[in-house]
Amino acid sequence: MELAITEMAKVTGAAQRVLEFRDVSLSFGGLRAIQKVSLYVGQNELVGLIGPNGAGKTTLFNMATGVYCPDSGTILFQGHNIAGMPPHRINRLGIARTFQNIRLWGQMTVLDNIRAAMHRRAQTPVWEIVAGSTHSARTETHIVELARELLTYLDLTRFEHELARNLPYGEQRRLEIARALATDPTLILLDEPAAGMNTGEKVRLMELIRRLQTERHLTVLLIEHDMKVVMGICERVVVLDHGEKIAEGRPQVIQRDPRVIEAYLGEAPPTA
Amino acid sequence: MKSPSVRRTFLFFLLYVALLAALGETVIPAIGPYYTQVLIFIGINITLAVSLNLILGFAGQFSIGHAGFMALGAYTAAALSFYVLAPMVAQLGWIGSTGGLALSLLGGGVAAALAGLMVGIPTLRLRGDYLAIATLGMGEIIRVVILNTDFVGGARGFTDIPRWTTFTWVFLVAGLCILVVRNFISSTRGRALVAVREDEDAAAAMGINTTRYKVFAFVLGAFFAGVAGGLQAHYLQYLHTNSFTFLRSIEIIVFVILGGGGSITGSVIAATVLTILPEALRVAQSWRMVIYSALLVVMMLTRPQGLMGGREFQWSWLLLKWRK
Amino acid sequence: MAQFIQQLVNGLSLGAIYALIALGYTMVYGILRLINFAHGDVYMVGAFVGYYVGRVLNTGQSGASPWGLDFILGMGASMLVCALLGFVLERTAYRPLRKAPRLNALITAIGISLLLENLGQLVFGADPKDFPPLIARTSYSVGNVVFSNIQIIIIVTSVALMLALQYIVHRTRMGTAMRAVSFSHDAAGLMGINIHRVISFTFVLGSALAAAAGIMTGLYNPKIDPLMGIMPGLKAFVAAVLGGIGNVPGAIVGGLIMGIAETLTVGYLSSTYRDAITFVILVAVLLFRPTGLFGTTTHEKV
Repeated sequence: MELAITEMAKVTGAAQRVLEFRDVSLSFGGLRAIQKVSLYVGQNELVGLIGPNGAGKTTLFNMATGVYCPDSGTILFQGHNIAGMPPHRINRLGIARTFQNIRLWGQMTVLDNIRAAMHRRAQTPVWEIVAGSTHSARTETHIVELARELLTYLDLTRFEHELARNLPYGEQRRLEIARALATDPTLILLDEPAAGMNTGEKVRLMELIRRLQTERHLTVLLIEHDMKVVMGICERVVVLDHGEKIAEGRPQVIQRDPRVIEAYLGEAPPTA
Repeated sequence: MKSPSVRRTFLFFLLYVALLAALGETVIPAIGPYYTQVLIFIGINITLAVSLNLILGFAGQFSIGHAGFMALGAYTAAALSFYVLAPMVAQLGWIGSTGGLALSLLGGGVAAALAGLMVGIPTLRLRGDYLAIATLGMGEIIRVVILNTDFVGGARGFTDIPRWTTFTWVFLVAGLCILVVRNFISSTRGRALVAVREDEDAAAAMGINTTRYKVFAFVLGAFFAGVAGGLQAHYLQYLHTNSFTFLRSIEIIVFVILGGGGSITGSVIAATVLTILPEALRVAQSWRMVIYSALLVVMMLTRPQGLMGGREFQWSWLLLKWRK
Repeated sequence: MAQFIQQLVNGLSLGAIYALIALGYTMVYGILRLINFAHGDVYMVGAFVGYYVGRVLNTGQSGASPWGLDFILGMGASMLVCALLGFVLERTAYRPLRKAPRLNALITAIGISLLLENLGQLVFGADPKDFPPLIARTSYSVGNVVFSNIQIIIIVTSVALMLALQYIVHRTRMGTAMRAVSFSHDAAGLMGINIHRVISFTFVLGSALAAAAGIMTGLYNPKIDPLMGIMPGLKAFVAAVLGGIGNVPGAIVGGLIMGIAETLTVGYLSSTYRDAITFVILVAVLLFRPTGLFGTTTHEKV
């Protein structure tokens, strides 16, 4: 009996919806950016969020991470309503993100970017840090070890002491992902991680994202314009246009959906 | 190499203070009062520069009213000494003056730190230019309030402050300030503070409570500015709000900018050079401010990252020079 | 009651002066997001130009010439010189830093301000000078309220200048360009607007207004010195923030409020708080309504 219920729950995804938007709307002055959007991401799913430019995809990310507060509707993260919560608290709960235009901490080294993101592991009191206690020194060493592990996982070790702003573009994008991972999230929001990458880099990125799902058991919501990437790794795709959800389903189905095609016809066809 | 510990840090610092005391007893009396005064001002300016660098350079907060913190600390320390401590320790000789100064400096630092807290909290809503103006306004408000407070001398000034400041004390404080700032900044949480400077929104997205970190920078920076003010009060034995105007804040900003924001080494060098230079160029006294301001503008146009470009002195640099 | 009206009259003329200076701050901020710390010192230079014009025209000895010729010459020369000064400052110190971090531009502005003040002390001499009466002073009284022709001239001239500004901003191509550039540099540039010229023009305009304010202050308050720009500069800046920085009508309203608040404080409280009221208003605005009375919050794209 229990098995049947859990199976049912998996199908509906109700019991395991990590992130859920319910009838969320947001306007900027007169501009209605998001109109009654409902969508969810299930436990350990890899979901894609696509749509023409200006559809509101990043705005959804911004609402989920506390940058904007929706005018109406609720945003649930693992059951908690997080709408309107400040960004740092939301990250504490377990949501991490990358940015569409890379926002690394440029004047710090690659290693320090990761260390800074691991600040929560360094809760030794300030006086101990200043006085150089054994405990704080050990905590620091531990954090550096963890940071280095993460850099190895993302193949950034050789840039460890390089300033983040001096990194080549592809490496910067990977560093953003590493930094997000450093905050130990349950859900990771990737905003156009493949933008500006060449084919080879994109293939490696796709593999990386898949590994995030399988090896690190993360739930992933991904904004992407490159259909090869979306088709390649997403289990489910949600399509946004002019602030509304216009389609949802398996990538192959979505790609042939006439409404989706029409939405994109206003601009260049999705790179397929 | 023994493992780091509080005890080890404490012992090293004790050694440092002992060295200072030794110098204070031997070299300082030998070089005469004029040069001693220059050294004392160097030490005070180093503390001011490093404390402002924490707020402005490392945390990236546009704090341009630093003299206000200094003033608050100076007057609080002076009031504590004059009204409470001096009578108490009158019979205790150097123990009295040392202990008295310690307590009054602490009082001054705490008062300034509280002001730092009050200035830091609006950082929740203010950024950049707005914050600059707010800090400027706060600095002026503090000054005007002190100016209108009679029991600390008001417009006449505060006189007869006991002369408790010594060379040892000044460089003890400077050393402490450098130690605290350096250790904090290089730690993980210090990196989080710098992250706030680099990109505040990204920092928040990574779970950093940006307001708390910014306020912390203000509180700690203000504390040391207050202590520096207390040291000045107990050296000149006289205080007047005219020494704590926006102009003084600018002077400290020049130290930080010239040395390079985010570099403690830079602040130390700049504070030292810019304390000595006006003395060395006594002739051009009326041109001093013109040179300062021109320097500021030229620096911003040509080398805004300052002397050190945000980097610190590394012992390994000496090795490299050696090898060549 | 008569006291109150008296204060209002005084406050209005003072406020008109603040408003003129505040306009310069607000326009430059609107277009460059820069607080031009040196603006108050341009006002000071304006007053000094008037002083030297008066000296040349020998107004001190032979009295003001009829038809207000001295005044017109003084205003004209002053506005011209300061317009040039503003142009030069923008070109040499601010333009190179347009893409630089905000802190650098702020520090530069502070540096320029100090430079002008200290050069002023060296060149003009630090001691206060007597501003020549470019217009002979006469007082009128209505009931118990006393006011001078100077105050009337201040208000009339200020209104005239503000109307001229409104015309420029809303009815000329340059004005439209100014508004476009303050909205977005890139968009305006892509539309074919010469950003450099627009920004220079804004500085020139603001500086000319500050110069006018300087002359009128000289007439109102004949003692001038090289540091006279500091407090009025700050007060005018607070006025601009109060009205909503970047907002032109806001600067005018803000200036008037600051002027009236100051005279009321001096009249009813005490003159020691003359400057303090400025900071109180500043802190209140920054804490409770940082965008000012007419300002709008801009959304930053994340």
